[in-house]
Amino acid sequence: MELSPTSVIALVGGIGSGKTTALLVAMKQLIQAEDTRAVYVDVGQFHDLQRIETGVIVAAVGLALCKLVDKSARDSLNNELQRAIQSFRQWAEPQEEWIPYDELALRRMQKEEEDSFVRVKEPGKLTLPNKLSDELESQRKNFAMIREAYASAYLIGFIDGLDRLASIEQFQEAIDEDLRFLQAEGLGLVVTAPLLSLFGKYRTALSRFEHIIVVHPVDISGPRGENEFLCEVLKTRDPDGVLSSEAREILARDSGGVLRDLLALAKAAARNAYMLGRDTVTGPDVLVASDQLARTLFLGLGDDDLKVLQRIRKQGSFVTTSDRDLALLMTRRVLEYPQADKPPRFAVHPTMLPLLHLAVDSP
Amino acid sequence: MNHDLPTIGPGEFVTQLGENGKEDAWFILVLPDSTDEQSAAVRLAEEIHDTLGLPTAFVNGTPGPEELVIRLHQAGTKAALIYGAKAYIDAEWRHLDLLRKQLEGGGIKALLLTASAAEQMQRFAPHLSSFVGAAIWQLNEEADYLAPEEVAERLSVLRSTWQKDDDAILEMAKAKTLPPDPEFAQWLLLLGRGDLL
Repeated sequence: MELSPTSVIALVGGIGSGKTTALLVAMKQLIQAEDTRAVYVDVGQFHDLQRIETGVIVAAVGLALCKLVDKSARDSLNNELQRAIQSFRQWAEPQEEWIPYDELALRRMQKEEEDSFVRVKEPGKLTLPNKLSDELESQRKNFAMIREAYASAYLIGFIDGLDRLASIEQFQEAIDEDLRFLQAEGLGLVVTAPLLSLFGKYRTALSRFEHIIVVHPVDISGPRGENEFLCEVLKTRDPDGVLSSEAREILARDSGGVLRDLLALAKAAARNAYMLGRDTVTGPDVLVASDQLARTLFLGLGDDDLKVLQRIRKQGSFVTTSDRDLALLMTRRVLEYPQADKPPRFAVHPTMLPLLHLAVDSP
Repeated sequence: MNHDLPTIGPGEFVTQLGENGKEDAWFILVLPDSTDEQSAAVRLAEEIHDTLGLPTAFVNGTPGPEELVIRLHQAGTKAALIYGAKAYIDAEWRHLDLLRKQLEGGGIKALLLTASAAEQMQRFAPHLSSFVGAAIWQLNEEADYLAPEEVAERLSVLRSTWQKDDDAILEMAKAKTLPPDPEFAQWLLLLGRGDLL
């Protein structure tokens, strides 16, 4: 982005792999440049992703810019800019109104008959006041003015949350016109995309991106001290030194390099230690936490899934032949690690290994 | 292959909630099919009040994920018990998964489910499942009844951690000078003096 600040990049990765962290780190780095500003939005915080449609991303980015302009130059806004902000907000913001459930249900019924929209107050911003796509173009002038007020040079939009969309069609529909709109207004964009978009027939979803960056879990078997990196992450998050070094090592191993799991396991291990009245988290506390996480990962798996996991455990081979196989990757029961000059390595989530071993040993 | 979820008693579950500190966190408690979830919620709320001293909101998610989110935000308490999601169909779990970002904030949330609903969640709401992490147990009403040796072991850990004996704790409880730490509540319960809480 530093070299080409108007490019459009897709950031793809598994659940909890650190995409948001990567976005925020990149953002922090990019705004060091004098002529570059950035705006971050998590679309899921702004809108019910189930109802995502054309215009939602532009609305989310525009509203974030309005807030930034307000914050940075509230007293010096000219009338024209104030009008642009007001008009944009009117178009994009859900009406602020509490609607108790019964009334909501009633309005929903009316909606089917009258095609009206239900509005709720932040943070329950679940529906929008208008069908945004109908008036998207009419907001271009306002958007351009707000964008110019915030950043006269390069502006990079970091769009988070779209990776949660399970339907690739929905993802495509959501980004298509909106990214074109934002690009036309001179924004560079980094957009999180569903992991599914890396596979087979779903790949077309990424065709409109100039670059694709894949965030993989950290491979702790790698040669470059990746294990130390994860231990350092834990040390940074644990300034009081509650985690013993043994606990940190096991956490790094059992997380499989999935950052969110690393932290979730650390929290669970800490709870286990505190329950026993101890102030330091030891290896056995982590092992109990790992077993807990493993048992949640086994939930809902069928015999065929277990056979696939056993094959990966024994042979390291994984060929996705069905959506069910892909689901194992999407839900991080199977982790993919890239290897230099070699096909990727696949592994079962490390917390699941002891129970898979037991399954083989038991009669 | 046996990979059942770990079991937990209501008291220990509430202590787990308390050990999380002030952080925003989700916990899941899987109830046996035969357990009435609303009665279980009431019992847990009493435990939360007695042990953690927190007011608890009951959030009925039965109408669907969207209403669950709205009601959760409206509740605005430090602890919420959410029930009614056990009947969600696959599409509703997918929807709740998409609303994951709106489930953040607002303290401790405990979601009551059945085993089959927990499986559905794992399959159709992977982002929510990842957010919950390892904070999922199945309820065992009997699990809070510790064996005498377990009681002795825990009491011993508490005594050495706080450098106090049982009499000192009882005196402080009677004088209402016991700090509001969940561990002291546990101490009294282990001594059979829950009446002093």
